[in-house]
Amino acid sequence: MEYVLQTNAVKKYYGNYHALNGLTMRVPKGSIYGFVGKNGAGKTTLIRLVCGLQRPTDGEVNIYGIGHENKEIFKARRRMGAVVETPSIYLNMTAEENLKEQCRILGMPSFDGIAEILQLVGLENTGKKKAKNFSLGMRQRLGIAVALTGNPDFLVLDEPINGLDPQGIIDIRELILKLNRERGITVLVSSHILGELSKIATHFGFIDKGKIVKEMSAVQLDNACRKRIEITVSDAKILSRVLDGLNIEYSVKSDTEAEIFGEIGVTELTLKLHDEHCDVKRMCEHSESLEAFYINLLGGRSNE
Amino acid sequence: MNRLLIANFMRVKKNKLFWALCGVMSLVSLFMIVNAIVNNDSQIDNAICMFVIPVEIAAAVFISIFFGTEYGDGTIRNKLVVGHDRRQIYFANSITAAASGLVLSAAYMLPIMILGFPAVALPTVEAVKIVAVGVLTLFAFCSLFTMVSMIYSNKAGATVVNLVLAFLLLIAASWLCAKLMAPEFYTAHGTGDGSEYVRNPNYVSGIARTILQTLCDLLPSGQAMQFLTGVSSPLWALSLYSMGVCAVCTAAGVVVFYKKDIK
Repeated sequence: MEYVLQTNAVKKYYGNYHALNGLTMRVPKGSIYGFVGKNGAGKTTLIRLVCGLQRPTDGEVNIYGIGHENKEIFKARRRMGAVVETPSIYLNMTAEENLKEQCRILGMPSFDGIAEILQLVGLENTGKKKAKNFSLGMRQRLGIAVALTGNPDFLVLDEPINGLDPQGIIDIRELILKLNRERGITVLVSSHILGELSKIATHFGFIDKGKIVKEMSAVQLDNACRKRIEITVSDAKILSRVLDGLNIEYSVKSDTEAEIFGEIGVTELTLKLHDEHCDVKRMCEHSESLEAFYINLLGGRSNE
Repeated sequence: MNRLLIANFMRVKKNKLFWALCGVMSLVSLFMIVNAIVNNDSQIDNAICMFVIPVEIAAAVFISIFFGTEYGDGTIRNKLVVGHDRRQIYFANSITAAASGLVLSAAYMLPIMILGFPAVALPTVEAVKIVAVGVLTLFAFCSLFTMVSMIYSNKAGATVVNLVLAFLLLIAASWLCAKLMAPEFYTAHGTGDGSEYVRNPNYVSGIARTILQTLCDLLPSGQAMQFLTGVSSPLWALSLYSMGVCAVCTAAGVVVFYKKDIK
């Protein structure tokens, strides 16, 4: 597998405080890599190292296979864009002026792609409105637009949906998916809103105390998260008998409620219950959320 | 680095504060011309030679806010993320600061050239030489303010530090010039027929005088004061000192900025 970003035993110390303790991670090309961890776990520190804003105390950060000490790293960085913590935009400029400024910084010969980028992030109608008068969501989208200038194929987004309203969250989510699917951009995204991350990420990295605790693909996570069906019936005893007959794992919660684990044939179960004169009043599928998995993973480790 | 320079210059061009400060420089210059006309001055040299002082203060404000915005708005990250070398970023900013200082100086000089020369007098050769050396003095100031702004990420903090630095340097220079200009002897009028020369106890002589003179020559503010009160050291020496200050401030700034953790 080809990796856009690899870190090898990266350490970052601020005086006596150890922000990263030998962090090793790999971001596969074409993935949306969800970077999950609590406050102070080291997410932003790692992103700062990846973006060249800070240097690791020890270890190596590889972008497209080029180490951070290699002189060629500057060329590799030209292929990436980032929004670290807050959007990096000139507040006294319009959206278009911000993108033009970034074009100049990148040495782009023309401003041809600007209209397209503004349209992509939904800021094409902002006209002469200065960025300081933008809403938080608009600033966030402008920050992403600036990061997209120069057509990067690796995008780093640090907490891109922090403080956004539900519509803003949806907009950013859709934008990330669009960039990944339509433009093939690899995205490293950190977020506290795990439910949102679980909707877009193809890979996950769980960080705690400056180390990656677990790296897995979304498929592996799905398998790890146990699916269950909550069912409410007129008689749980009949339900137990039927489920025993079908050899399905379950647990009874009350006289009328139970949880069924694993895959079941809903029609078959319903018909069998009907034959036993047991009514099905409610049936609802649940799976363990990324949040629950995260709590189990990190809580378990801290209890070790 | 050309890309960074172009981006910086475009920002300067659109910066309202910069053009406002240029306007203030022209107003100060106009005031100096009116003052010369009212006082029936036969020379315009004073108005010309003092240009470093107002431009220095304007540069302190502009450089702090201009580069502080990069930290405040976080846009310096855009330059680093896309692979610009920190040394190039620093040098581009230094050149931008120096060029801005030149434009501010031009804004000061323009009214003098348009109104002052015909209304008062043409400058002496000595004044023209001082302006040339003064430009280097201004570059030294700009290097100092750039260093502070690039090292200290807080925009408001850097502005305060640079302004305090600008005024402290001027106060220190005033004190140094006053010490150095004190007469060696003064005339004491006694009860007798005539007056007699008495040695001034506050006159600084020997090694102490050499140290104070060197300090006055070394400090950009000391040079600026000497342009007004009279230069005792050779102009080429002052130029070398200015270039030295530029080199030291830029080198120190680059070293610290290169290692700086940016948030």
